[in-house]
Amino acid sequence: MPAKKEYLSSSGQRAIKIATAILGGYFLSITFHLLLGALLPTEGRNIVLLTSTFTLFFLWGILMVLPFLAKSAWKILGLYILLTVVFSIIIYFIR
Amino acid sequence: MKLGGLPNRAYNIVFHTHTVSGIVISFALYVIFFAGAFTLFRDEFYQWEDVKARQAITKTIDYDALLENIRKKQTNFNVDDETYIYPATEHKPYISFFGHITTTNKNVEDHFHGQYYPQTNELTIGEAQTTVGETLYRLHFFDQVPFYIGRYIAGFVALFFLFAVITGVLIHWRNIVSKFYGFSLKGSLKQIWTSSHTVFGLLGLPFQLMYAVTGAYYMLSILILAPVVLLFFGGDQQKVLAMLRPIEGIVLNEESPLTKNNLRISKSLDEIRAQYPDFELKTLKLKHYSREDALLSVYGKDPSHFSGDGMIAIQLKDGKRLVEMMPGNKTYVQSVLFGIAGVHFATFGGLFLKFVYFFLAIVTCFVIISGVLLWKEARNKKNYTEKQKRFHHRVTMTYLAICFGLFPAVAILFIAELAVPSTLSNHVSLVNTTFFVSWLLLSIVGLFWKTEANLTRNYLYAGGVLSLGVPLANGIITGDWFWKTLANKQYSVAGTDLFWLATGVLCVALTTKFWQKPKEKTVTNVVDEQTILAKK
Repeated sequence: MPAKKEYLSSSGQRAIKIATAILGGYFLSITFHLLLGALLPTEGRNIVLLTSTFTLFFLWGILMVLPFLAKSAWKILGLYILLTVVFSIIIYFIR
Repeated sequence: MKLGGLPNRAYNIVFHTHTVSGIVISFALYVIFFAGAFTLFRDEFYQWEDVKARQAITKTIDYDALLENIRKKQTNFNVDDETYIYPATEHKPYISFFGHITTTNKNVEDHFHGQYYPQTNELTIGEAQTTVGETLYRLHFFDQVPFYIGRYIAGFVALFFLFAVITGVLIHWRNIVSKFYGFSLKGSLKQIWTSSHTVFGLLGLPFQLMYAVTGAYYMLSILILAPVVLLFFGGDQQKVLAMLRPIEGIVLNEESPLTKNNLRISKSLDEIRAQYPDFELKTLKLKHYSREDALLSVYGKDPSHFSGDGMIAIQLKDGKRLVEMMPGNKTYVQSVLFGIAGVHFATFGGLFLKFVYFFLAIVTCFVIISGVLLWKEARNKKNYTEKQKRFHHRVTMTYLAICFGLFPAVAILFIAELAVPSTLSNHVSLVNTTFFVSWLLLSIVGLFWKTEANLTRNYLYAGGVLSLGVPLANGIITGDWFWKTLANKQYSVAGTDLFWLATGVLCVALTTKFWQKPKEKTVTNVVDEQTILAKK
């Protein structure tokens, strides 16, 4: 304590990681919940929507930690965007 | 016992994110928890702040007659628009209401507030004249910051708090079992703060995790609502409301004829009371009161259930119940938001639960403060330049001054509520100004107190002395000394006085008797585990 500097990433990488964590984490978490909701019939969908009032934030919190553990900020940003887009496309077609 | 922890690289990264997110949110989070802790008892100390409310609750009220009287006093009262009536409770023994005014312009909405004291048959129009509970409640999500900016700040503080909780658990996972009993006051300052931060952080973990998530939900619910409404409800927010609260889905006919033959409100309420004796009525909502399709919605809670919230919608034409969503017959979808409110506002376990919550909130404040001190102490070593050290010191002092200055300021807020005459029309804004200005001044003064120990001690002393002023102010200004209110069985007034008295005695005794001028602490050679881990 404090953390050893040699493991921490450069400031450019860090900025991307922070953006991925906050924005990417939100979009991935919300599209995941919307996807679950869209896959289910109305009754199940409403259950997912109401459960998301707390699970959205749990998942967002976990998705905020992961980018910092990644070796490359670009790769994790790409992964988040890819998953968000894939989820969005599936939601668009099954609705 | 040791559990498998994070690998070395991950440990250091997570540690760093925990430190940064924690330092960034620390003082805002402290203010949220400190103000929130007092807000828990908002109802309980209401009679203390509002001298007029120090009366016993009286017999049942004829609400139809009340509405008639309101119409006489507020002649442009539109009884057909939504009107809310909040029945008297033990803590607030008067009726408050909220109604709309007839406007010529259909796009403009205008409303008014009012109170009715059945004990004296006094009816007043205008907003409530006291503010302690309201000020602290709004402070706990920074609502005083204009344009809802404060609410979003509070929301993101809650979200980053969740992040800090998750990373904190990851860091301490390896030693999480021993942290249950690992508290120790031995060793260097850094070790004491480490041990405080981790042990109390772990003990308060479920509580803190719950508040991080529910707090984020309350402030950032738009982030769920907006996409859900757009995607599944065709952009119509009303449909979501109708799903959660079926009463919102009832559509009334704007052309419905006027009538005087509707059932009386009190009769419908008596029927509900007879059928659900444990159900406490919290809110009555009227719509189209003077028309044939008049609708009375009753919201309330049965305090003996965790999910005791319920609502009934009654058609006043014939007493038919259009919606009856009562404890025991609610679906999961209808219960979730009530559940979140229940755990967030501690309304499911009576007064004892609120004390537990209060204690845990103060523990959380301690975790936050020890985290900041730990951050500073961990940087108090040779590989940091003098300039860096001075910066760490200044940041710590500023944070502590803002945080600890709040305690005496809250005592001042209580005193100001009674000391500023309630007859003044700008009473509320004067009390609020007194509170925020004294908090600001107290924080500035703290910056001149050189060391953290001095600063803590002085704030504790100032807070203690001012705490003693709270029961004094009540006794001198209202004449309700706590022995009198105790004898009169006004336990909430007496309880507030005694709470401040006990707090004052404790703080003054701590600072004068047991805490002499802080001495330089001797540093022992015990190397703590984090240092070993970081060196690995």
